[in-house]
Parts: sequence; structure tokens; C-alpha cells
Amino acid sequence: MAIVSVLKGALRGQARSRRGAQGLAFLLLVIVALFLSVVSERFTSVANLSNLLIQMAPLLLVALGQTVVVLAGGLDVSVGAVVGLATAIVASALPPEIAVPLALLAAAAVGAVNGVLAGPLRLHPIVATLSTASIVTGIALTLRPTPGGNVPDFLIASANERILGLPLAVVWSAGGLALAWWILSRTRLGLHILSLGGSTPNARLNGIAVQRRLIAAYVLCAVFAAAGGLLLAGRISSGDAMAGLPLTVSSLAAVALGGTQLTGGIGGVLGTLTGSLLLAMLANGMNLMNVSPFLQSILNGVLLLIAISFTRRRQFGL
Amino acid sequence: MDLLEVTGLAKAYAGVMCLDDVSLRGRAGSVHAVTGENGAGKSTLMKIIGGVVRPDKGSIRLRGAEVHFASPLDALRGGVSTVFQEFSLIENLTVAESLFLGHEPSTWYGALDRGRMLRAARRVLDEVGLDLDPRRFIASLTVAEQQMVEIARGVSANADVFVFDEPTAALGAEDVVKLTRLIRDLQAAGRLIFYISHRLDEIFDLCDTVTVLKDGRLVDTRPVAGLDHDRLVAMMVGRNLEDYFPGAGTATSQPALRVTDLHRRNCSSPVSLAVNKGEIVGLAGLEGQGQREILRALAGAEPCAGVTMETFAADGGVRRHDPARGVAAQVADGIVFIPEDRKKEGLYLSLAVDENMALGLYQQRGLGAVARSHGARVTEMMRMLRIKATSAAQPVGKLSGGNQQKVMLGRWLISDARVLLIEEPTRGVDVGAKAEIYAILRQFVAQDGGAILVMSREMNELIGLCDRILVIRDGRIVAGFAAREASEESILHAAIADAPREPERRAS
Amino acid sequence: MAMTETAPCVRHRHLRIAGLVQLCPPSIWLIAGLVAVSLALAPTLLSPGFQWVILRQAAPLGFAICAQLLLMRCNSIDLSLGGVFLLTNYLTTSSLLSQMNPVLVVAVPLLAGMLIGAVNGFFIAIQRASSVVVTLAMGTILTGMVLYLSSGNPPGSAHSAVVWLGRDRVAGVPVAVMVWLGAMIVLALALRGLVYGRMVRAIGANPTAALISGLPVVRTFFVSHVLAGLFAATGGLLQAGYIGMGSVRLGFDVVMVSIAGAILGGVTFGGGRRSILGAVAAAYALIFLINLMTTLRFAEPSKLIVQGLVIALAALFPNLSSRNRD
Repeated sequence: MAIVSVLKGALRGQARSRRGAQGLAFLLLVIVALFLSVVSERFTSVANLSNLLIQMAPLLLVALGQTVVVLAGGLDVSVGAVVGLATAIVASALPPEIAVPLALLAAAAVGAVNGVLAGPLRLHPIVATLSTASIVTGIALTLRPTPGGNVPDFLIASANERILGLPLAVVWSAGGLALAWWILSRTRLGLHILSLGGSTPNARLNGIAVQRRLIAAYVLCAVFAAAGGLLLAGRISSGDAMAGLPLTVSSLAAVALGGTQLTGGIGGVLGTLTGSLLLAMLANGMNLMNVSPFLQSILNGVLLLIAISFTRRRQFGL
Repeated sequence: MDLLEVTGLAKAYAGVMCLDDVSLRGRAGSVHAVTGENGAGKSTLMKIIGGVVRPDKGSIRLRGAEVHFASPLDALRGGVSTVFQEFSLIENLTVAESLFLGHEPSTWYGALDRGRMLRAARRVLDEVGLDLDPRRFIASLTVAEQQMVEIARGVSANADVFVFDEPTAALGAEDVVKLTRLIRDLQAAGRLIFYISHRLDEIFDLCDTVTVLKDGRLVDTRPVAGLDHDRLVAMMVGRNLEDYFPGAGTATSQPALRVTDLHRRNCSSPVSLAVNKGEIVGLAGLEGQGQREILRALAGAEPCAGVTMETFAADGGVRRHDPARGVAAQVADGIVFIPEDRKKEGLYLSLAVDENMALGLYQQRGLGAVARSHGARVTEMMRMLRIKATSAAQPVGKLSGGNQQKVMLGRWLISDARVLLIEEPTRGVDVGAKAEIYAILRQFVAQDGGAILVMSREMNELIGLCDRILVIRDGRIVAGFAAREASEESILHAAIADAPREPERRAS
Repeated sequence: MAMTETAPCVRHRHLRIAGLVQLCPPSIWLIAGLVAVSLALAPTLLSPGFQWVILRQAAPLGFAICAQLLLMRCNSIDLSLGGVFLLTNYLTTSSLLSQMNPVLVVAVPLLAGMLIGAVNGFFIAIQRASSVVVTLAMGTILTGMVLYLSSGNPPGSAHSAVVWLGRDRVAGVPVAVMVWLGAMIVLALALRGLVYGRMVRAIGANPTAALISGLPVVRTFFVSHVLAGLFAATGGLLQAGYIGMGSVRLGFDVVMVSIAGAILGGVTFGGGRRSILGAVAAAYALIFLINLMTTLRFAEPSKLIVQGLVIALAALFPNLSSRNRD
């Protein structure tokens, strides 16, 4: 019984910290990995594992951005739209040295709009980002009504190629992870973002420029999403305004699975890494086992339900 | 020479003046009390000085130079540090992060210097005499520890003017001692301390000057030495201390509520107590000794591992209750709970007065039942409790603290509660409304044999209001007094005698 | 005292202007705007025939908005509405129910909707999980399930009973519109007159206080989610009847539009006034808007942009007067 209660404590993140309940995702990760390595011998092959990491990279980048916003007490359902916009911009006729910065800048602008709507204009984050998601998808579709276009070679290379056996996508992932970690735990902005998620009114009392910090969080999120979009464009070698939309749901799933509380302030990038890995591993494993993609989405949903029923909160509703 | 001079301050909220032409001077080395009823404007005045609120009119001069603070941080940089009444701490930060939030030490390239922050935090905590690991998270601290961190935060700033907004509201006796010592140290170092409080004892013990506000205007600023309790209260309200508490003595010897062997989670010692019909029983004790938990466990608001709880009807019939079934079941049995933090846990601020009151009636019916308006009963109750509202349709959030507290009481009186469990019956309530609330409570028990169990940090409130006082220490009842025989000294003695945790003495 | 006599006048004048604008939910103003634009650019839209079509198209959306409204008012949300739409569509058009008695054909999807609502409610009310995540997961599951069952191909055509509900008229009035408005009247009366409505208001206003003072929070949440499931299924049923055949792409926009509609109807998270009237108007306004844009030959991307702008503006609307309170 003692073991059970210790386990429960770990799963629910009762440790006195703000890392959140990462235990469950980690446990599931281990179980799924063990299961897959027993069921399919191809799973543990180096080629497959590096494939898995490549597949995960765009999701991880988007989810890291989502983590920043969720920690600040917000929520961004426009990330998928921003991914689509980024792929549409880099697949346009513009030269890459203009298109890539432009994609990031456009994302930053979307993030700023999100931040202004959710911050100074006091819209609920779901409502604010839902409206920008619609607008951004509209713009991306105007730029690229059907999938296609030419993606710069270096993006295709960085999404698919390897250096010394190490997929470049992994370098992107590691870079994004390190950057997000550094921002959140080693900069004043990061501390301020966490304090916003803890209690916005109190952060204001402490002299934090609450609105500016919130806008910064949304901008960071959108830029991370755009980076994910660049990588995705490289992987599918085309621009597609709708390609990113599923990433909205899966980025939220990765964040929630990683133990980050959707009310803000509690959680972190390591949990998000675990969550993203878990989702990518499931997709990869089910592909190996030839499971219908429709069944995969059912399983993802069920998994998400199981994961959250372990995190007991005081609050009801959202 | 005056360190801080405030002239002609005025502030209106949504067209209603809450501070009007207030002027004030503070000397270096002075502990300056600011007092008055709630809504008198003292918090607003201090918020202006602390940079939280900008005044509509008037000026602030610090060391002779006019200042305009844009934010609390700005005020801090200018030399004014405020310890807020509402906690400004954030639960998911560590103690060290909380101490330096907003002015964190940073490295040469702009990143957060965690090492330096931790060392500085240790130093600050040591100065304040607080034995805490700065890496602990605020969420894991007790309320009193949080308040002490808040105070440490304010004190650690190298400021000339310190503002304490009701700092002792959440503190137990031992921490009050620490705070007093801190304030004395600041005073000796030639700082100016503004000390906002309703608690007259504290004003007389600690302060040398007192400024009284009433209805947003200045009444007077005087040296404390020339005043006594009654004269100070008269300045605040224009009424005497005697008609503050209603007479006691409605208690009978028939039991109304009997609690036998209340077992709480993580607490080894069971508690038994009884309240007679017509009786108000108070729970006293130092902060965090379990009074609050006992009350909440009986209300069903906190887990309870087992208890025999019985109430006795007028005809002598006995009913048993099980708090483990939750608040709703207890309410259905007429046992109701009034929490301390009414804005957060009690009222629906955006809803109207009548709806807030009628909820007590609605919640005892099924979701599919028709919700009658109960207009006449609500109006009658509002009249009886003398609730000052423009109409029954006014949102509760617009009422003063005292009227909000009356709405809370009204919700349960209207639904025929038998037993009231009350946490801090008059927190944040002005003196005038306090007296009215005491009278309402006394009338409730006198009328048809209701019973009240009340918990309060203010011992003189317990002595004045209750018939009997039980002292709680370490989760157990260690003493019981008849209220008229009790004194603050005797309660305090029982509350700390043989206390396992003697307040630590430190050389400062 | 003199100062308090002059000051409120200023406040009142400000409140009067803001109050006038806010007397009606934003959806009413949107309708006014749409009528004006139509008068100028596409007067045919205002003909009775077209208006009946708009109303009939609005009925399914109206139910979805209502589901969302009930939940938003007690601080929850349902992102699985689209999944429920998809599932009811599948149920009514697949061979599963085609041989059955018409009552069952209608009842089974409704029961399925309530069941889904109950599962959502279980996780959200009893397990206290975040409704965003729960219903997102539920939406994924339902979509996956329908796609899996139908192998990605649209099933057959809708049962005649469902088609009757979605398309036919009685005494000149479309059945769907009668069902819709009837249900809305019942719901409005229930929210106003039953204890349930009071609980929704109280829980929306202060969930913590609701728990501490012993309001039936869990039950109210659960009931709201079940009702939302029922409304969503009804909407899905009317939609399926209107289209007349199966579709596996239907319902992707339902979530977005239902939230937009609830906001247009004057609902905020945890509150809202006159919201049922507002929601009915919102469904009508949104369909009107879509038809207007189609008439004016807006391309699909431009419709999305307009839709986003409408959501943002409607949501900014209630902040007009409360802005300077801060």
C-alpha cells in the first residue's frame, strides 16, 4: 500500500515544486517503449528511433511554445494556424533569406496580437486565439490555397538529413528545448512569466509589467510555432495552410501529458519533452504495427483522458 | 524635519470620493498609526503613498522633494516600501524569488543570477529572524510564515518609509513579537513607519502618533500619549466602547450541539465539545493550532476521519450528523459555515443581494425544482439585518465589508439554520457594523435556541461576544473559561503554556 | 456629502451610453449591421423565402451554441461538439439504424449525445479534470471513431424521419425551426425559473464559494455537460436531416462557430445576461453572415478572416464599459 501511495503522490505532482506531475508521462513512456520493443523488433532499430525523433521535432517545438504561454496562465489555440502560415510563407516565391525571417516576423506579429487581445484587451485566451487562428488560417489560405510551392533546400535538408548519423531535426529540437529551458528558468522574463501564471494581480503588485510580459509569452509561443512550421515545411517539402492544424491539439496534449497545469504557473519544458516523446512514440509504434490512423487518434484521446484523470485539481471547469 | 509630507490628497473611484483633501506629516523615527473604520480611506491613502494607486489631486513630498510614484516598484526605488494587507506573494515561486521579484539580481549579460539571489535571501531572512529555507515554495508555507515573508520583503528594501497595512491580521502571538521587534529596529534606525490597524491595543503599544480618518476625510493627527481607548474610538466613530458588545447571558443548560471524538486526518488527538442552546462558544488559540480545521471539519468543508455529531431539537429529539458527507449535507441539516474570506469563499460578488441570500434556500431543493423569488422574505431579512444597499438587486460586490458580512449571515438565517460555525465574524468590518453583527449573533442564539461556534484571532472579540471560550493548542482543547471570567492574559497563558514551540529568541 | 451628489452624474452619463449599447447582446447589433449591408448590396437575402432558409440553416448551429453557452456560463467549455455532430450524422446515415422504427432513429443519437456528455461530465465534474483537455480528447476520440467505422467514406443517406425533421415544413414553418425555437423557449424558462439556473449563475460567479457553501457543484456541472451533449446531438440530427446524407467532414467548424455564437450572444466565461435570446440571434446572425458572404462572392479564406474578426469584436464588446473600471 505504501508503494501505491508514493506512486500516486509522484503521479499527482505533490512534490513541493513547480515542475508539475511529470511522473505519469514518464511512466507511460517507459511502458510504451518496453511494449513496442517487445512487439516490434524494428522499433528499437537506430533508423526507426532517429525517424521517431525527426517526426517529433515539429511537435516538440510547437509544444515548447505552448508551454511558455500555458505557464503564463494563457492558452494558445492559434499555434496550428501559425504553423500553416509559416509553411505558406517559406514555400512562396520569395528567396529563402527573406522568406524565413519573414515567417518568424509574421508569427511574432500574430503572437503580439494574441497577447494584446488576451492582455490589455482582456479577452479570454481561448476566445482571443480562436479568433486569430481563424484569421491566420484565412491569410495562409490566401497565400497558398492548395498545398505546394517550393521550400528552400536547406529546410528540407535540416528536416531530413543527418550529420554523423545525428538527424539535424534532433539538433533543432535540442536547441529549442535548451532555449525554452533557459528562458523559463534563467532569465528575468521567465521568472516573470511564472509569476504571472501564479497570480497575475500579485505579479502586478510586485511591479511586474504584467501586460508586456504576457505579450512576450505569446510572441515567444508564436515564434516557436513558426520554427516548428519551418521544420514541418522541410519535412513535407511544401507549403500547406492546413498542415499545422492538428498540431494545436497535439501541442496541448503534449503539454498536459507532461504535467503542466493548464491554469498556469506549474510545469516545465522537461514534462513537455516527455509528453511530445510519448505522443511521437505512439504514432511511430502504431505505424509500425499498421494500425489505422483513425484508431491512432482514438487511442491518443483515450490516453489523454487517462493522463488527466490522474491530476486532481481544486478547480472545476476550464 | 518631516520625512514625508502629504498635502491635499484626493481620490475618487467611479465618481465616489473615497479620499478627500487629506494631509499628513510623518517624522523620521516615528511609528505613525493610521486608523479609522473600514472604508474610512486609510488603505487608499497608503496605496497612494505606496505607488499602487495614483491620486486625483494633491502632492507627496519625500525629504522635501515632490515625488510621483507610478508603481509599487517605483515607490520602492524612491524609498517607500509597502507590506500589503492582501498577500502579494505568488504560490509557485520560492521564498528567494518572492523576496526579489521585480528587482531580481542579474548577471552582466542580463540573465537571472540565482546564486546571488539565494545568498541575499538568506541574509534577509536572517535579519528578520525567520528560519526558512529560501528555496521552499510559498505554497508550502503556513499563512503566518507567508505574512512574515511578506514583511521580510518589505523590510529588506533599503527604504526610508515603511507602510504596514494591517500586518498582524494573520499572525499568531509569537510572530507579532518578531514583528514588533522589527518595527522597533526600524524606528531606532531613524525610519518612518506607517502602521495601519483597527486594533487599538497595537496602536497604543507600538505607535507614538495616530492619524484618524473618517469617510475619506482627516479627523485629526495626535500623539498617542494623550489618548485612551475610549477617546480614540470616539474619534473613529463617535460612539463609546461600552455599547460595542451586546449583553451575554442567554445561554441555557440544555445542549444544542454535541461533538464527541472528532478525528481529523493527520491529527492524533480527538476533540469533543458541546454548545448549549442560546450559547455562543468561542475557539481561541495561537495561529495554526487547529481551531480553523476543527470548525471546517464540523462544517464538512474539510475531510474528517470520524465523529459523533448530534444536535438537539426543541422537543428534545436528537439528530445525528456526519460531516464526512460534505457541506451540502450539513447545510441541509441546518449546520452552516461562514468562512473568513467572504469575497473568495463566501459571496457571489457579481450577483445581487437577494440572489446571494436566496441561494441558501435554493440549495436545499433539487436542481429541477422551481426557484421562487422569496422577495418578501429577503426584504424582511435585509430590513432586520439593516443591510445598506440601494436595492435588493444591487450586486453584493458593491457593498461595504460589514454589509457583505450581513448578507452572508442573512443567507443562512433565511434558510433557518440551527447551528452557525463562523470563522472570524468581523474581519474587515468597521466598528459600527461590528456592533450590529454582534447583536445579530446574540439575537440568533437568544431567539429559539440556536447555537454558535465561532473562531477568532481577536481575543477581546471572543471575550466580548461569547459565553464560553475554549482554548485550542496543538489540535486539542486545553482549557475552557466562562467568557466573563476570561481575560486576554488568561487565554494567552493557556494558549502558550507548555507550548512545544516556544518563540525562538535570537540575538538581533 | 456635497461631493457625492455631483460626482455620480458623470458616472451615470457614461453608464447610460455604454448601457444603451449593451442593452442587447452583440448578436442583435450584428443582425442590424447585416440587414443594413444586405439592403444596400443584396436585398434578395431579405425576402421571406431566403429568411426561412437562413432560419432553417441556423437551427443546428443554434443548438450547438446553446450547448456551449450552458457550459461557458459555469466556466466550462465543450470542444467535442464537432465530434458529437459527426457521430450523430454517422448514426443517422449509416446502415446501423436505417431499418429501425423512426422513434429509435431519433432517440438513439440523442441518447448517444447524452452519454458522451455524461462521460465528459464524469471527467470534468467528478475527476475535476480540465474541460479543455477532456473535451479535446473526446473530440479526437469521436472523430477517430467515426472515421474508423466508416473507413473514411461517407455512409448512406439519412433516414426519412430525420430528413423530415431537417427539411420539411408544417404550416409553412420548417420543422427544424419549430424544434429549435421550442427548445430554446423551454431552456430559457428553465434557466430563469428553476434552481438549476440559479446554480449555474452562482457557480459561474464564484466556483470556490459554491464549493464551500455546499452548492451542488458536481451535479450542476454534470447536468450541464449532459444537456450540452443532448443539444449537440439534436443539432447534429437536424444538420444530418438538412444535408440528407452522410458526411465525414461535417462538424469541423462547429466548435469554433459555437464559441463565436455564444460570445455573440453575450456570454462570457462565468456569466452572461439574456443569453438565450442572444444565442438564438447569434445563430441567425452567423448563418446570415455566411449567406451574405457567399452572395457577395467571398472566397473561403476571406470568410475565415471575417469569422475571426467577428469573434474578436464580439468578445471585445462587453469590455466597452468595464474598461475604465480597472
